[in-house]
Amino acid sequence: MAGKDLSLKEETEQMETSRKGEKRVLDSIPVGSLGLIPLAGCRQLGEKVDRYLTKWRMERESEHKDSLAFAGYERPTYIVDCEVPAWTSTSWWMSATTARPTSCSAK
Amino acid sequence: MVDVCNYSQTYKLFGEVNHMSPDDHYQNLKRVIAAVGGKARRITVIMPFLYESRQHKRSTRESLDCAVALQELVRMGVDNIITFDAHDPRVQNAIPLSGFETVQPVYQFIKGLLKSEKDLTIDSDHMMIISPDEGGMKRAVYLANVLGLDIGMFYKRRDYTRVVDGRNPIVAHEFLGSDVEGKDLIIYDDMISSGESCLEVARALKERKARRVYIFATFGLFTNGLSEFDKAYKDGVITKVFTTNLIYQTPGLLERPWYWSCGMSKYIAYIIDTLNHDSSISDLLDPVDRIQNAVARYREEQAGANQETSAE
Repeated sequence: MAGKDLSLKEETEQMETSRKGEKRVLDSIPVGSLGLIPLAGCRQLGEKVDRYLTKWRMERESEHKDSLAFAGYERPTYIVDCEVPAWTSTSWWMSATTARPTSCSAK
Repeated sequence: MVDVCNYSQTYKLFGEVNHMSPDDHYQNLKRVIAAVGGKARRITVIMPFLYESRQHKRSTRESLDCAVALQELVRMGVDNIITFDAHDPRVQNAIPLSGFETVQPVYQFIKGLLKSEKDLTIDSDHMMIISPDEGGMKRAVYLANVLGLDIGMFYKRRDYTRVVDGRNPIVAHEFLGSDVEGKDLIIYDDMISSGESCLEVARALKERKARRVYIFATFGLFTNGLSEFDKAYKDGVITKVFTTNLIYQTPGLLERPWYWSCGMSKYIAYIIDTLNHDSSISDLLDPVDRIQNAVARYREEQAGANQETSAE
C-alpha cells in the first residue's frame, strides 16, 4: 500500500513534511512567464508538478519579485487550458477533412 | 507534457470506442504546438516515454520514426525535449543543435527501495546489480558504482543456424558475474513490456540461490497483464517491482503488494523551474551526491534502530 502512487492531496501533504535544504536557489531572471500544458492522459502528473511549482514560487524570496521581469511569476496555477476535440464525424472521409480546431488559452 | 503510453484515454469513431495509441498522443502534441502558433517564448516538450524510441536504428529497409519525430518537433519550434531513460540516447544525433536531455530516475528508485525495505545491507557481500541484457549494461554499471556494488549480466545465447519468426531463437539466458547465492539482487532495465524476460532472469537468479530479487524499470507497461507477476511473487521469485509514475499505471497495478511506484513529479518540477530560470540543470541530472546522502541516512537509521533493539 505504501508504494502506491500518491494522490494530489497526499503529495501536497508530503510536500509540507519534506526536508529543508532541498530547495533550489534560483536567482536569475526567468526567461518568460511559465505555462504548463499537460495533455490528455498526463493530467494527473501535470497537476502534481504544478502544485510543486506554485508552492516553491510562492515561498521563494526574491527582492526582484515585484519587477517587470518577474511578471506572472507567482500564480495560483501554471496550467494553461487546452482543448483537443476528438473526432466528431462518423464518416472517415468527413472526419479526415473536417477541421479539428485545437485551442490553447492562458488565463 | 505528454504521455504517449496512456492507452486508457478513449475517443469515438464510427460509433466505436478506440483507445488512444502513441500515434494519437503524438499527433495531439503537434496540434497543441501548432495552436500555440509561435507565441511562446520557448517551448519545452516533456515526453517521459520518448515516442517511437525503440525505432531508433535501421538494420534493413525500415523507417526511422524516432529521428523523424524529433526533427518534426524541432521544425515546429520546440527548443528543448526532456525525456526519461531514452532507449538509445543517440537518437539525439537527429537534432544536434537542439536541447535534448534523457534523465535517469536512479535516485528515485533508490529512494523507493530504501523506503520500502528496511533490512538491506548495502555492500558488495550482500547485494548485487543485474543487467538483464547487454544493452542495459551502462545503466547497471552506473547504479552499481554509485552504490559500491558488483555487477552481473545476462546475455542471450542464440541459435544462429536457425531463423524463427525472422530472428535467431534464444536457446538460453546465460549469466556472467560472481556468485549470487544469498544476495539481494536488483535487476535494472529501462522498461517492462510483457515482463517475460525480466521474470525469466529473476527465475534464473533464484535457481542460483539468490536471496531476494528486486526489479527496477523506468516504464512499467505490463502489456500481458499482471497475472505472471502475481504468480512470481507468490512463488517467491520476485520480492518487489519498482517503476515510475511517468506513464499510466492501472489501478490494479497500484494495489499489488509487490509493486512500488516511484513518484517523479517533484523531479520534473525541479527541471521545469530551473529551465524557466535559464539556469543549469546539470546538477539535477547527476544525482550521485543525493544518492550517497540517502544511503548514509539509511545506514544511520539502521544503526539507530539496532541500538534501540539492543538497549531493550
